[in-house]
Amino acid sequence: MPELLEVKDLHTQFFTRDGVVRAVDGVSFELAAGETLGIVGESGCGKSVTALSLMRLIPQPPGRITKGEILFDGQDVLKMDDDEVRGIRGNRVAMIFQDPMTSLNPVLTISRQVSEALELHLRMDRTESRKRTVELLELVGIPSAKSRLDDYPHQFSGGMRQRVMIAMALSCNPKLILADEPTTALDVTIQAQILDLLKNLAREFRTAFILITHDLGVVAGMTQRIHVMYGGKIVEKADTGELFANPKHPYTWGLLRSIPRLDETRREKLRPIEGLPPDLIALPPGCRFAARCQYKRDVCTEKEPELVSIPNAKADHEARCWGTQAGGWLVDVDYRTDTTVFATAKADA
Amino acid sequence: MLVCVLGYNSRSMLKYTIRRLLLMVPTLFFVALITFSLAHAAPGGPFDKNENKRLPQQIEDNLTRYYGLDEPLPQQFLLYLRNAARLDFGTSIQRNRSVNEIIAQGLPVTVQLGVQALLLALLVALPLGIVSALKQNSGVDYGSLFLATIGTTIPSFVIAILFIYIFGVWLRLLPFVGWGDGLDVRRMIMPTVILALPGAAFLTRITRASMLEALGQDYVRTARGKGLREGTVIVRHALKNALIPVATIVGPATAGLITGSFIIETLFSIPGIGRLYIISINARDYPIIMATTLLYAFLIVIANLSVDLVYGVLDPRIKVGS
Amino acid sequence: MATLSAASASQQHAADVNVLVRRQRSLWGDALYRLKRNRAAMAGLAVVLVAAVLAILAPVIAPYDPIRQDTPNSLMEPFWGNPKFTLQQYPLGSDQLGRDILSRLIWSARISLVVGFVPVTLVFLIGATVGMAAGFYGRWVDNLLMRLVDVIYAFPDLLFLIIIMATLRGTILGNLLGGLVLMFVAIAVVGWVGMARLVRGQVLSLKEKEFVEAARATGATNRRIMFRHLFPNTLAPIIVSVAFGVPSAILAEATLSFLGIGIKPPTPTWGVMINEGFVVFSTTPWPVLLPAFCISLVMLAFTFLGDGLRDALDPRQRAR
Repeated sequence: MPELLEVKDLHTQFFTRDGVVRAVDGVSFELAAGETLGIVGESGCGKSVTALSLMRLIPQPPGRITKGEILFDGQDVLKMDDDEVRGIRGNRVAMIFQDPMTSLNPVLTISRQVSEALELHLRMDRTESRKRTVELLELVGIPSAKSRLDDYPHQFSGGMRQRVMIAMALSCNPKLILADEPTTALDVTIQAQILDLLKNLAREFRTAFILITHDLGVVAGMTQRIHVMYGGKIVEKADTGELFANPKHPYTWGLLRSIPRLDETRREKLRPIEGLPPDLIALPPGCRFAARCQYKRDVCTEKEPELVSIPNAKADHEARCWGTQAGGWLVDVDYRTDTTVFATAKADA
Repeated sequence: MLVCVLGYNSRSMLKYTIRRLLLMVPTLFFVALITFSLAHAAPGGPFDKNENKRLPQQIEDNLTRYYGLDEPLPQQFLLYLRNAARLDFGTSIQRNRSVNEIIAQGLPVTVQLGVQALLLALLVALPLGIVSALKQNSGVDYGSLFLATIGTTIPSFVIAILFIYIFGVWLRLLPFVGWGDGLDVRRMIMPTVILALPGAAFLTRITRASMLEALGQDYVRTARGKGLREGTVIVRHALKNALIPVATIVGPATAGLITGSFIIETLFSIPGIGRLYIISINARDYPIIMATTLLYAFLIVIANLSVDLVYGVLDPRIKVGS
Repeated sequence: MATLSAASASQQHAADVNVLVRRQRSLWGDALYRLKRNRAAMAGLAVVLVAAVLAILAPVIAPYDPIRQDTPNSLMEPFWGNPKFTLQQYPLGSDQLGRDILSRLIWSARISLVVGFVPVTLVFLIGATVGMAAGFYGRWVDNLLMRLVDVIYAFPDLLFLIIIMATLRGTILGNLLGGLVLMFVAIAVVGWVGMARLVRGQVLSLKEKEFVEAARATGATNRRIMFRHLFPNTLAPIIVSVAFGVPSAILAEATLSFLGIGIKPPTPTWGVMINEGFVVFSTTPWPVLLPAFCISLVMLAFTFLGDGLRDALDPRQRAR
């Protein structure tokens, strides 16, 4: 069965006065219909740019998709003309943005904003679209939807606004929804509600989701597969359970180590990943994570590793690391017990 | 009917309007007080402008008594206020006609000039600003920035002098004296254009900046993400937001038109109240000075109030009256 | 198991990595950097500095006494219109009383720049204080001060200036320094309200921010909060306001002098020169055009500079 979405070697760059920012530098992945994929990484790793590239929402003057293919339902999005792209936006692919405060137009009613896509893509008239809007708002859990149709965004709370955004995204029954940090701007309790909502909607409508976040906790309960991104590239791909149980990239180890765990009996200090992400204009040669990696060796700063299957893991588990690849020095390391780390670090020092 | 149009905010807006109108009274009081004090603080009176033709002392005394100028100042002021409340602004000292009559003669001219200039400024500045924002760094953009810069940096009287020289004296294309009957287009072109220029320049810059800011907002990205055509995104989403700050500028721009009219009317010998004002100040014609100042202050307050109301209509986030 | 030395070694490592990856800049350093890159603003700054130098050195560089009349040689053409020009004559021509235009222009620069800066300083001092007090203390202080501001604000600027200048010209105040002091006072009285409103607005929005609460929690007095915490954060819009206030003050003086109620002759200012040159405009345009050019150039320079400052201080455009 052909995949719903196939991204092949995507490169998106921004041409600035200070240089070319290689925001997405060779990203490839697939997504099946109805599947939920999580893309995880810190700020600046390219995950949001990837999502915007999928819908060709990259602002053209500084940015450009320079290479690659994005096959959605068999068609290459990058080869479509403007009208075709607009035809699928909001219609077969929809996006939920991060900040519901600023992503909704403050001077238009929410009824207007939700029904825009309905009127455009499904050619509904005003009465039909209003009716459908009420249904959608009720679906996402907005109370007294009918009486709030002509309210403005500022009259809603943050969580409600995000629900409106979700309703907007769902309006034309898209096959794929991209959710870019959908809960980052919300309170923790509201976060849980929104995530639950998304999960239920995914199941009920069999919509494929790409959930983009920096928060591993968010993807843990939501996704079937996870891709970890760093410095514009994917550095690890695995099923969700596999990723948490058996991670195979030092960056992922770092992420998991920096989360406090309730079930830890030993009193350990939280170990953050030191340093900052690489400068995407002047990328270092070799592995992009090397500067911050405790396990690095010479080869790491010379040649960049490829994303390949790794030993001691499930078949479709891939990682981009010299150390964890077949023959590498990290193959037998369990990151939770890190005696090897300090031995190696002292060896290097 | 107005309530239906205003819809959302209507009842509180009505209360707000009434409150602002009531607030206008103390403001006008202070305006009158300050003007009165300053006018009478100046040395000299209305009768000694022509040093060559000094009136005989007797006549001057009579006139002084007639106009109440020999009364103590506070009394003069109170008397003035009482009369003003009945819209009796007295008689012009210089022209010996009722102030109301003189102003009624000059006001339509000034209003016509001002309204024409305002409309011209809006008609030029808004499209120019919007197109500049959409096509940044294009010919139109540079052209509008150039125009905006000229309009705000070169003093309007300088431009007026240049225009009068080029079009009036040298090319003899356009007459530059007087206003005609209000329908004489050729006579009205130069004063209207020059009066409109600084306001248009300012509005262009504001519109452009405001449009650029709106286009960079997240909700524009959301709109594009829904597959809306670029034209819809620009007009329905960006423009409506962009015009809000522009609307608030129209108030100060109107004030600018009022002050600009002094210079323009003086230069082009237009018989409006701007020129009347300048002449009266030099002649120390107190009744006219007072009445005209109050009139201007009143117009400014009304203009600002209208702008605030328009703002309340355009921006649903604003609860008018807060 | 991590020892102290291992921890500090890794901190050093992180510090190294930070320095390699990012150039850090302070707020003001960043603004200065961006301003320097703005060519129009730098050009404006250059013009302003040249004008300032000319103004300061006026007694030294002006070839003639600006108020010395030479009626037999009145209305001489500038050097480009005079085929028999020699260096003994007036380089930019003479006005209808035979006074050297070039010298008058240079001396006018003095007055115009002074008229630009002095009232604006007053505006800043008065307006910022009032605005800060109103915004910070709130309640009746705010109400009282803002009513006063509203009354003055209701006057159109030029109108108020005209009234003040016209009515007080004959008084002692009006005769100090040939009308200069009155000009300062007038512009300051009219202009402080804008600054007050600006500062008050800033203070109102900053007052609620957490750093103020934090300062209070560490026992800072009101005055300390106002000066060390609130004020520096309001500086950016104040600077921009001042940068645009200077050309508007210059323009105000020029307009008032042109209308005949500004600086008293024979003191030369650009506005006065235009006023005096207006009558002979159709025969020789230069006595009007040259000062008009000077005003426009200086105002243009300040406007570019002001725009540049505003863009440089805009926090939303922070460079990497």
